[in-house]
Amino acid sequence: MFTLLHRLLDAGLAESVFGDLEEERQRRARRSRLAARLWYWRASFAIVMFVAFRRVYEAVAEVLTSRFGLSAPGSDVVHAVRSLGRSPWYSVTVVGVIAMSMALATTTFAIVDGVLFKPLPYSASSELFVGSGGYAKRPSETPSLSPEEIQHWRVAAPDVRIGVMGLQSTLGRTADLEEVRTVSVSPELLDVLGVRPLVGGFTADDFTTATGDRPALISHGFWQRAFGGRPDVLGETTTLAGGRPIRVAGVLPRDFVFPSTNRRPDALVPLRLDQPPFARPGRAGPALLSTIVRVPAAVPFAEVQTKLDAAMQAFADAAPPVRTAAHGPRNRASLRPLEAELTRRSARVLALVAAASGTLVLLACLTLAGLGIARVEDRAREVALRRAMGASGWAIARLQSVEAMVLAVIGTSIGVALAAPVLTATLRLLPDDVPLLKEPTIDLRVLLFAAGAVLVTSLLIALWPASVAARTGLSPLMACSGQSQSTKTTRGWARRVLVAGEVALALVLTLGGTLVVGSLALLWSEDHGYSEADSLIVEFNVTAADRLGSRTEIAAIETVLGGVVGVRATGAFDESLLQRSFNADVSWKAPAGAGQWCLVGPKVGVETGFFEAMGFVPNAGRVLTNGEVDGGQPVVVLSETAAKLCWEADDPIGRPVTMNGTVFTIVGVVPDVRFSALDERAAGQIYVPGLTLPQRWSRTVLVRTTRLPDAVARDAIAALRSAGLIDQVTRVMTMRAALADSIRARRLNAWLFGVFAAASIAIVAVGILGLIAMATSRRTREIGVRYALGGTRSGVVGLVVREQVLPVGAGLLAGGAVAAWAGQFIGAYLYRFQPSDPRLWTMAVGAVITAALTGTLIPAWRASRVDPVQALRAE
Amino acid sequence: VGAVPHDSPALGEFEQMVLLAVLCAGQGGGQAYGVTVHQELERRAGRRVARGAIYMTLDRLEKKGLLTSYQSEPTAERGGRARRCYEVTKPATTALRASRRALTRLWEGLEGVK
Repeated sequence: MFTLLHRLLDAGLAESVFGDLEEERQRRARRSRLAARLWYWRASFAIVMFVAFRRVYEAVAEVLTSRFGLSAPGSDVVHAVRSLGRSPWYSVTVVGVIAMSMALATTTFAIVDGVLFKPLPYSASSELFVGSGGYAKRPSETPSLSPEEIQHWRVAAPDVRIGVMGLQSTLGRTADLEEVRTVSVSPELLDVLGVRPLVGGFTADDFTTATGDRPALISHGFWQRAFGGRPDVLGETTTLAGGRPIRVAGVLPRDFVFPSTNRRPDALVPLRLDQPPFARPGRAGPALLSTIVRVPAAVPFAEVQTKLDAAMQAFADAAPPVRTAAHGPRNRASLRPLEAELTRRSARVLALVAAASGTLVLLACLTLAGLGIARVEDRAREVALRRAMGASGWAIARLQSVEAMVLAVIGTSIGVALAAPVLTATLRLLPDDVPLLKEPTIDLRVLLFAAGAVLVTSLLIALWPASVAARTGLSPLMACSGQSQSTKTTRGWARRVLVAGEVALALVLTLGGTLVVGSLALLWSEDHGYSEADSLIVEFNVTAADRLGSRTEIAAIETVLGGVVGVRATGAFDESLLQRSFNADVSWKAPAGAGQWCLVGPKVGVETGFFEAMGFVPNAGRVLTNGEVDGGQPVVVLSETAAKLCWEADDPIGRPVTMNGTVFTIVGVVPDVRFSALDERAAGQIYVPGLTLPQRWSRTVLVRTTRLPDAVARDAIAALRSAGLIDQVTRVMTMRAALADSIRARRLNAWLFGVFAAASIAIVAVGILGLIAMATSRRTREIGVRYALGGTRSGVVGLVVREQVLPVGAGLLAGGAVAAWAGQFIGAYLYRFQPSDPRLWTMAVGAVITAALTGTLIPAWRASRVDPVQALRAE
Repeated sequence: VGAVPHDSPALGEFEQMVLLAVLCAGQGGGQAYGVTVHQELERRAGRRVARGAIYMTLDRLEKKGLLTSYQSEPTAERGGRARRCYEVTKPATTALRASRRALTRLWEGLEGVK
């Protein structure tokens, strides 16, 4: 405050102002220190705001006078501010509605702008395509390519340039266990994209010479996070926890976007096609590569497509694959525009969010237009007086428009200020696989959008009321009921149409929010097989070469974890948990008598203590004993879905299952667990002793706790660090956090659509309240007469409520029709629910009716408190 | 109005009130500064006035040459800050008197107006 005032006034005066405030605060503090403190801050704020406003006003007035020769600059604005100050409730309501809708619209624009509108940060990005393999018989399938296929492409089409991307992997972890992700790239990739590193870059040797440390081009964000943005980072070697040492070969530019929808990598490393898994003597390399192809504008696309198709066909003919897919060999080339590919996943849902945001702004504008008309009617006598004194219709309309502009500017400014924290909260939920073409932030583009929104909103909320004001004649001066019956009727209908429109839009938004939030609530309420309140996940890398060796490492980690206060049980297994992935080992032979569709999910190799840590209560039979697990006995436990898929109603206990030539006996059935993600469909698992799967080893320890898992997680990290095992640990996370993390996209949708729904409910309630309040205040005389003729309070309340039944009902019908049509677009984002689910529709309609009823009952109740004598005397 | 000397600076209504409040606060050896001027305005004029408006007006009147100011000694009860005390200048008293005369003449013969 003091600094601000220092900038606005000269230093001596600012000093004395705060001295005065301090003097008065101390005097007030004798009565109440808290009240004095509050007074001090309120008074300081008021002074700073007043002085700032005057300074801005004087500056604008100076410019308008000197540059444009206006004699009374800003007088309309001053008049508008004074007039609005005399109607504080109206002003606060309008500013609140604008601020709320603008905060959400600005946040939405900042995100949508970063994903959809911003052009790709590559030179001539329209020339870039994602290249992959294809099948003549099934064009929709687009598998990755092998090194040999890419070589054929290069030979067949020398006039296109091809950059290659390998697999994404983890380089290691930072000290606070943040995963450092990397992608291997070919030397041409950055050149194909037209991107130059900020500093440094790969050398030719980096792609051919093996060194102890791995060269890496790190992202700008990782450079800032891990190296504090130091300029001397080039050539520095660092060892990440659980990974090999890396040498910083360069830093990527701030706006670099990796051309893939996978999780954003923190670093790029050289792609070595002469090393495993790509180098396989005597055999073609695996098809694990994806490509970015630049087709110069001068080269006809169809010609390139033909050449690459021919190359793929020639390769398929020359080296037929050992196993051919059911739909034939991979003999086509697929080239898809990079821009469409990057935004494919998120474009639809973001378009929906943008549409919802636009609907909310429209609802706000309707509400504000309604309030504006009601205000014009409320000031009919004042407007008529101005007309009588010679003001033109244009002058009246201008006054109305300036008022709208002032409110729009204040509301939008508050909205933009609120947008920053809303955006931060939203970005926390943004899934990693949404490719952001720029970091969403309140930047110049967003501010320009907000300025445009001010203009459009002002026009929308001013035009109608301004035209009503301009057409106001002198009749309101002549008598209290001077307006013609037809004018009253017209405005009554206009009010009803506005209420119906508001209700319709609010129902569409509320229904969208109810469906998406309802889906999330259902997802959370379902039994996912975990005890999330007292569980912890610890994942680690194993350095041993075989399962027996890995057991020693697991035992060491479990011993350390077992010593942490609050750990009740630990159990290891060989699946990654809630990472949207699972191991693909589903090979087993369907037993005799099994159902036709006996296809189940992966096998899970478990270690001692697993079933205790999971807290499984068998549905049938029993779980594996520690002896069976330690000894690698041929016994298995099925999940509920696996048992149901294979034996339907029959009892599977005691039946044999053949896996890798060994016959296992089913000893129990346990509840389903969602290993991949909270919203996955139960695929069914088979739990086997880990030793029976010697080619794999455990990598996850599930920890059950007796106290809050967050606290145990902190202690576990400290214990693993002091035991020197932290380098092996890749993730320590509470089960609740991991479950929430696995459905980030759904949570983001629920957050956005839920906020839109809540805002629409609030706006419709406020809008109807404002309209009815102003309408009933003008009917004081009528209500007084009704009382005088024997009317009752309940009769007056009923009268006001009955009048809203028709518009609210019409709005619900119209909104319901639009929502039923729009439901098809949101269906893909729902969990188990159908867009037409009657329970959620009932909830949404109930919420809108409640809001409308609240907005109606409050002014109706106030109207019913009118003293008939006072009412008639006042008139 | 014609009796107001042409060389007197034009005073707005609020400016007149602030100048008078400075005069009142400074009577009897008192100091006219932000707090006392605000109190005088509220007590005598019976009007709630924004503090920011008072400071801006005091600053403007000083720049117009209608007020002069000096700094008092810093005190502990003011957090070690000095008071900025104001005194009305000769041109200001001339303008105030002229304004009063003009109003008095305008009121002449209107005593019966209710």
